[in-house]
Amino acid sequence: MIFSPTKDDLSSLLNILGKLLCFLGLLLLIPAAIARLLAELNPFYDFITTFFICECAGLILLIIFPFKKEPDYSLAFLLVAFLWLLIPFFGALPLWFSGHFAGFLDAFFDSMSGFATTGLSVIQDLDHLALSVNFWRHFIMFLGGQGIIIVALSFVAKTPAYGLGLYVGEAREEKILPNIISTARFIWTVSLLYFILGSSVLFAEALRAGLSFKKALFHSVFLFMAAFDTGGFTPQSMNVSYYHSLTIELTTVVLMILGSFNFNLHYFLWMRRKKEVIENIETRTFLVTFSLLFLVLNIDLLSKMNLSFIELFRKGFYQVITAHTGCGFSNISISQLKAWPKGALIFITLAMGLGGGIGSTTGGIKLMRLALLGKAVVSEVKSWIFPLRVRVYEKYHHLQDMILEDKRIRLVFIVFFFYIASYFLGAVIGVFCGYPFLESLFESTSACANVGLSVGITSSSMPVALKITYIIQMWAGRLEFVSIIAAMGLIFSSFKK
Amino acid sequence: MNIMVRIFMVGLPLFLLASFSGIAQTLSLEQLLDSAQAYDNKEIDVQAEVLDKLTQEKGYWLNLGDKGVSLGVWVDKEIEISNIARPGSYAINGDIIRIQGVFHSSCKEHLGQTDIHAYRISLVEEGSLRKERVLPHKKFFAIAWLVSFLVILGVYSAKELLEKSKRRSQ
Repeated sequence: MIFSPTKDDLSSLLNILGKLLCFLGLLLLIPAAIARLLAELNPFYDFITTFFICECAGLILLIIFPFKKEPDYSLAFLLVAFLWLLIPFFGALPLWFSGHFAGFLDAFFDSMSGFATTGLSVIQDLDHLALSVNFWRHFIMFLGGQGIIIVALSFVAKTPAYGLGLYVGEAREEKILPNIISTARFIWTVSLLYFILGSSVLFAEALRAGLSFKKALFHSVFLFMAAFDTGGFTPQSMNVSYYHSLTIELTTVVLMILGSFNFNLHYFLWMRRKKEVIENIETRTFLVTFSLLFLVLNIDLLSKMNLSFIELFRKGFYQVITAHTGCGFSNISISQLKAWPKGALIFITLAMGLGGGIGSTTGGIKLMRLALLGKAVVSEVKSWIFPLRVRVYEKYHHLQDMILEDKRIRLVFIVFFFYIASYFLGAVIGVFCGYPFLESLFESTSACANVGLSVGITSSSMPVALKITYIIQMWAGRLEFVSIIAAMGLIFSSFKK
Repeated sequence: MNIMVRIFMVGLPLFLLASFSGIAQTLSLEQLLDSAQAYDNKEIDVQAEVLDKLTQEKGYWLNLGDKGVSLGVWVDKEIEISNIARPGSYAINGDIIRIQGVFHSSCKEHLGQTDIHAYRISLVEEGSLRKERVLPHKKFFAIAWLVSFLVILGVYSAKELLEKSKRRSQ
């Protein structure tokens, strides 16, 4: 039987939406306070106006649509899919008002890129952007990475079961602690600890690199939010090269890797159970894929470019790690990246497409799915070789020893298929817009896997069709397609009824 | 002699001298980075806005920006740049400077960074404060939305109170 939402379900859903909009409005008071403090008057008015708009929209929903009953679990997917369009829409308003975007679509592009932790940007004159607006760009990345739904879970979810629905809908498959609220709190506690540690190191190093106190303070916070949440926005157009500091680059590498780890592994690290981290299938897959990609990239760069060992390490290593973890920082310019051999661009595209750990802030296919697909292939081959009466089981270790089940493989394959199809579909649209195939594939993969590296296609002057394509890719990629497909199914079933 | 002929006779040798002596024309950062391989390890002449001046032990990094393209310039301590004091930001239009130096698409001294090692820097245009005036329509919209918010909040509070009293009476 296909589930179809009732009027009460929809009323409750819109009520939850209203609460979340009010919550988003409250968050806007933080950049508003920063703007007031820094005497950035126009941005102050922009943030205050957006705060009132969010509160008005939220309150209207609360007045018209009362909370009637706990919505059905499956409606969580519809809510999440819709929310991830609505929140970037409202989040785009202060960006649009700032005057640094060619139009609302561009501001929405950056807002979606921020919430989806992608990092592609079509902003104009970034170097003269107000610090408070720059803070908002990075803050939405932090909110999106941590899971805006998780942020709001504590006061929206009335029962743990529904909270879990939202949590799963937001492409987080695993709880860390038995209770979803405790899981959300754990994620925030760990993130806060990393925030204090990471931004302190970055602040000290930024001061040493010669930045002024104010700039060092803000930039350390911005870099932390963008690195740990594998977002990739940077406060200046020079990206991380702005600081001319190897230590800052290495610190961001550590933060990117931490951000790309499954949050369950952070829990085990927290509990000092390092063995789990070492034995985990995702950690092992990351080591294998990263080493292989780094090796082949270096071979390609060495054979075609005259680079010293240190240059090779600094540029090759950084690009692979930033692509694989889905962060999107870069220590080389777009023109330099474009000048790399075709093979190197293909390997970077591959690294972007694979992504990081499940239950992390990264996008892409994800290491777990890749490992399970590999195991499935091995299992299938074994079943051909062994006698018919022998049943072949593949085991893997993820938090505990597990047996690979057909049901799991089916789901993995579906998500894998959607990612690959989306990467190529985006590339085809890029080609139709007049860009070369490889560059279009690079950019499309970067958008869909929420990475943010660019070979120069993404800019305010790119065709509107491509902007919309990348927005959809960032949205669908962040939710790993599942929520969107489920939501579409629900809408379809409602009409059918 | 005709004035035009005189200009021609003086101008032509100067033009030829400039063309063959390696004195490059002033480039934009975009032109420079788009043809990075062609200018690699060559003397260049660029003009751009200063975005930051990072003081380090042996010299300075001047981060330059121009139309969304940016690049770092390494300046040794011996070169006097105390007159470059206004980096660009939200509140400031940064100093516009002209740099003559050597461009490295992958600098050996700075771990493979793309940079310019400057040997001459001159201030073309002093930076200026950007006067920020709150745009009147922003004030108007803020007040209009504030009023709407207060009205809607009032309606919401009244509805909540009504529902509470209903629940109590039940």
